[in-house]
Amino acid sequence: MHIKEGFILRRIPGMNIVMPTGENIRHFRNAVRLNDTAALVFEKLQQGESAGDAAGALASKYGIDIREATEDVESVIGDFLELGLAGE
Amino acid sequence: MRNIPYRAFEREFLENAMKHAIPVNAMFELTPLCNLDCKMCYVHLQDPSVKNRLLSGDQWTSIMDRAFDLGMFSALLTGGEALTHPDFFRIYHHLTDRGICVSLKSNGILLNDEALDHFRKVPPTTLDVSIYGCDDESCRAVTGRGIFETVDRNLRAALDADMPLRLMITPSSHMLPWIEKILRYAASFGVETRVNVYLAEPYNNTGRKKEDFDLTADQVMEILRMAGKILPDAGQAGMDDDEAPEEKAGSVSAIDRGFLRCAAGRTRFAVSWEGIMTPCLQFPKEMISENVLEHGVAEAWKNVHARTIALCAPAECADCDIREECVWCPVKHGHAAPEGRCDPRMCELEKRMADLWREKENAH
Repeated sequence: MHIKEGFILRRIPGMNIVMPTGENIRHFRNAVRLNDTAALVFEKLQQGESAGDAAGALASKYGIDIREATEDVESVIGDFLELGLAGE
Repeated sequence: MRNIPYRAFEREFLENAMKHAIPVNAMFELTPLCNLDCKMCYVHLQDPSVKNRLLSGDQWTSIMDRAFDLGMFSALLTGGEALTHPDFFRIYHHLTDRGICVSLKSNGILLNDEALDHFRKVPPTTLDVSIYGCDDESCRAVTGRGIFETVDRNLRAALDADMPLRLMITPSSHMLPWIEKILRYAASFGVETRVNVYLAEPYNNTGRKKEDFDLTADQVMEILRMAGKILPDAGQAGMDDDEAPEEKAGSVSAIDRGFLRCAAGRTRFAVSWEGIMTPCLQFPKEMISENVLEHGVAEAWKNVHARTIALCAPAECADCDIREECVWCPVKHGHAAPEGRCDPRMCELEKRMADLWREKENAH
């Protein structure tokens, strides 16, 4: 599982938005707005970390159970795959 | 995760930017030089020494990186003729590599195969091309050059390449004899076309004066009616889209709000070819401006934003019949604006345009 090449996560006060970059602009003509959870997962995966690492980071940041965090991460990854932001 | 309509997202995005004073949009006037000499141009300089004073590609990308850090999401590259800047494509790709939505304003002359190769690989968000004539004679009357065939060929190639083309027509007294034919020519492309009837006062150093090419309110109204028939979907009123108000007139007057209800200086800034930041292009520099080369982009934006939101519309707007419909804009009111006054000619035009909008609304 990885975030595909050609995307950048922009964090501004009040919003997290993923934009296509460079030649990917030709193929992916949308912006994707992420909530804080999805933004954290995106960041971790883009840094090359695993889904498990992302779940650990989520659990630690929000003080939630690791199983709950894992479910959240899996759900978010499903969305990333569907949107074309991530690949297997 | 949920899908929302783009308009809803855009509104939320801009409201958020407004709330946090984030300059999500910037305009970069890369050069005052141009390969045309339009009689109504507010910026074009002919002094050859200007070439040696242009900001380099490195200077521009450094300014743009600082704007990125502040939250810039979209950028407009303009001039003069932006494509004449020697580092244009380096600047363009620098922005798109960082995920910035880049729009370009051009006269179309340099929109050749080489340029289209760049844009095919990385398409701009919008490619605005100004149309100045419907044949060589009309082009020469407005721009000084018979460039019709070149631009026509380039426009058709851009269309074939699926470029997000948008046409722009800026009527002036020099264009009047051909205006209907030009509108019909623009319509033949079947793309969005905007008619910009707000002519800006040229900068002092251009040697041009608005009175030499200005239109009367009657002429403007005639053009707008004509455009309404020939280009039913044309953007007729207002500055061109990038400068259009993001909030339409509503229940709160410009006086109550303190300033024009557009993005200028609130979520947008412009940087001139000399590195001067203003709330938008054409904004009177004597009212609000900061030198980004001296103060840096962040400090300049802080000051431009603070001074913008402190501005008030002229007192005379308080009793005006169209105070709810008119968005007072220093750019439209030219030399009168820095003195805190309205230009009566512009007020007359705004009133006539407000009538036209009411007429259209009633017809619907």
